Amino acid sequence: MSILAILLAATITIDVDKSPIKDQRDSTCRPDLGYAGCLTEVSLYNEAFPVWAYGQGIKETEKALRACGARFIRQWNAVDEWQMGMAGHSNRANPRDYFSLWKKMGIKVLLTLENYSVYPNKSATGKKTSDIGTVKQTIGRYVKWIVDNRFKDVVAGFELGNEPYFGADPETYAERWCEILPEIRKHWPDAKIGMPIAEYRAGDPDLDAVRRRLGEKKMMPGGGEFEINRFNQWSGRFVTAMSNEIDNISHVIYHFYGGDAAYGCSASGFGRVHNFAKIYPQIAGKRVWISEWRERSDEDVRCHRMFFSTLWKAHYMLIVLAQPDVDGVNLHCIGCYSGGLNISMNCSFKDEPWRSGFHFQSDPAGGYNFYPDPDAGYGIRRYEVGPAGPLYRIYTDALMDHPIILEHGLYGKQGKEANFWTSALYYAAGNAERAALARGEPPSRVPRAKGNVEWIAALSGNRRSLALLMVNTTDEERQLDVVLHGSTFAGPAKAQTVSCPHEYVYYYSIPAEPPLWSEGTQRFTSVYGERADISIRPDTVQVVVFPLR
Amino acid sequence: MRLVFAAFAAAVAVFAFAAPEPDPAAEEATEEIVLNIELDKSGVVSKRVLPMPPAAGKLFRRYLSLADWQCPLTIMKSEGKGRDFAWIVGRNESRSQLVFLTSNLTARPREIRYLLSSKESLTPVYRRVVSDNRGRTWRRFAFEPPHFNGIVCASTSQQGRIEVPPYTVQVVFVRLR
Repeated sequence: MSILAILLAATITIDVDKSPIKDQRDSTCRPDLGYAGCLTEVSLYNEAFPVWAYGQGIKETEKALRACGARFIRQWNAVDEWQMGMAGHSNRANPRDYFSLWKKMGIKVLLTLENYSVYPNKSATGKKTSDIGTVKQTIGRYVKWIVDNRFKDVVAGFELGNEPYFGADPETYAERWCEILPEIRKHWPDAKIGMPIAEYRAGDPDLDAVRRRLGEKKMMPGGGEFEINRFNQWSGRFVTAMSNEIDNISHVIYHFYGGDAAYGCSASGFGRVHNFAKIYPQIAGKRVWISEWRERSDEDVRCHRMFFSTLWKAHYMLIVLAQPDVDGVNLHCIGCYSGGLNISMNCSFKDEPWRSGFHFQSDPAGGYNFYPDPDAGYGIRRYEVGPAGPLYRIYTDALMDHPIILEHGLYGKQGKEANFWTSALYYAAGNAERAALARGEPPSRVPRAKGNVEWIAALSGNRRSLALLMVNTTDEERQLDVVLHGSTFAGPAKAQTVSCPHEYVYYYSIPAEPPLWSEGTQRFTSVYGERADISIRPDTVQVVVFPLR
Repeated sequence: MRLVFAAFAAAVAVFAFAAPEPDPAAEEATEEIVLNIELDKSGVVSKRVLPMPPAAGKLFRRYLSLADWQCPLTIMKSEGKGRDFAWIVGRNESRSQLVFLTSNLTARPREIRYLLSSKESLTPVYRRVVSDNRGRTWRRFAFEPPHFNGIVCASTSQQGRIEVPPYTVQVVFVRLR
């Protein structure tokens, strides 16, 4: 390290004896950073992909899940999937197969239960019934099946419905859950259970996406603040109506979309969680799951293929880790281009014949609903790691070994509150740069987005190892001087990096083609007792692991 | 003296070899090719041949197959034999996708500007085989260029323009709506 670099280096001071922000060993979702989806949802496209994924292709699935850092996942419509899977439907995977794989891999799953209706028979065919007695018994049987088959250690918890605030009235909805919950507890008394809360702001991208999906008539007419009030009031009424069971609810669940400062996927989201708990003290003190999050909703899935999105995600994930009351968070979703895996499957898409192509979530812009796979033959299915995969892998690997979240900070001291806004600031600056490039302005004349270096310090359970989870969105390599209190470094540090040349940060990667980012390793040998010098390159996500004495 | 002169000559020779070659690409202005694309025009299925060295051809084969699979009908192509620069335009049966196949084995950058007789084009998807050393070695590079309308990706800013940098062979797909 040059003298100039030493002079310019910022200092990270870490006290290993300090009371931690949180200990992930207390969380059933450990390592908390996860994906929404678990590959069974691909049956949405009337595709037998899940049968392959957890049957003939299970080894490839295992490899893919490891490669994209999937250690915590979420299953939508868990009871339906179970009923149809156990009945052997042609496009549903066998629940024993996927639960067994998750157990073997140490994966945790958040299971979303729905109380609207179930299949009344074992063949899971015909008309579903909404009879509360049958729904209650079926959900009870499902929970019993999990317990009897020793899959409890796979389950992070149960979610009481996916975004019910877009549909049912809260009182009836709560009444049904209050009927069902004792049945769940009968089989699994201390199961973690979360209730969904909607807390929106006008202009939230998720509302617009849902409006498009459902059609205007099913949404509250008028839109704007009026509609927002309707959703927010739904949550209040739901909390009130759940009063008989509220003490048995361990978590509140939010879905956050929109990376701009005003929307949920920024520090604003955490502010909303805390504000809602002030208004409805019944839920104060409950822990939080964010079971869906993303910087844009369905209106723009393709944007996630930029490394810019990966850098933004890294900032947001570090902020999430710094929230003492937040447990699991699930990026929506594992099998689309915003997530961990690009999936090439043999599937019929609208207006397309049966072909191998990469799965893509709906794209209202009318763009590419899937990308052809130039390498796979007819009927061949395969995975490749998506844009968020390498980030997830290096962060979650580090967190599994370092579950004690000690400290969160930025390059230079800006104060705890300011630290939580880095993702939103970088998102705004990055979008300005991207917009200028999209207008065709020459890169030399486009002002470069200036983010920050953000980091989380995490400690191993035996205090013999320290990990720094980092991201650098500034315009140059940054030097950092790490100072330790309460322990000493035992040797050189090893780093894993995921990096992208700045000129490609706003380019969109194409499935089956060479990624625009690259992965690497590095050793930092300037380690002296309680001090260590490290660096991080621009446009880079990095994990540095230090052995401690 | 002879020794000194020899040493001087050797130094000059070393310097001459070490000095970077001027990059002709940096000096050459971009040539624009303007195409009026008649989407209603019938296309033909024919073998598509573009000039390229074998090393590039090996990497390009899968892109050519993809172009033939996705957009089998050729509707326009450059005239003449085109030893170092040529292009082909194709489309699919339903006229919902175009493909541009280009080969530029010169140091001169080119740009295809096209006008569609009907429909609008979305952002192009480039699948490119490119050489960074004037054709000595080749590598694959695929991407969509930055596009953004202030809210979402569905931008029209790059519509109607296909970049053809020096020493590239590429297929560029453009969805139409």
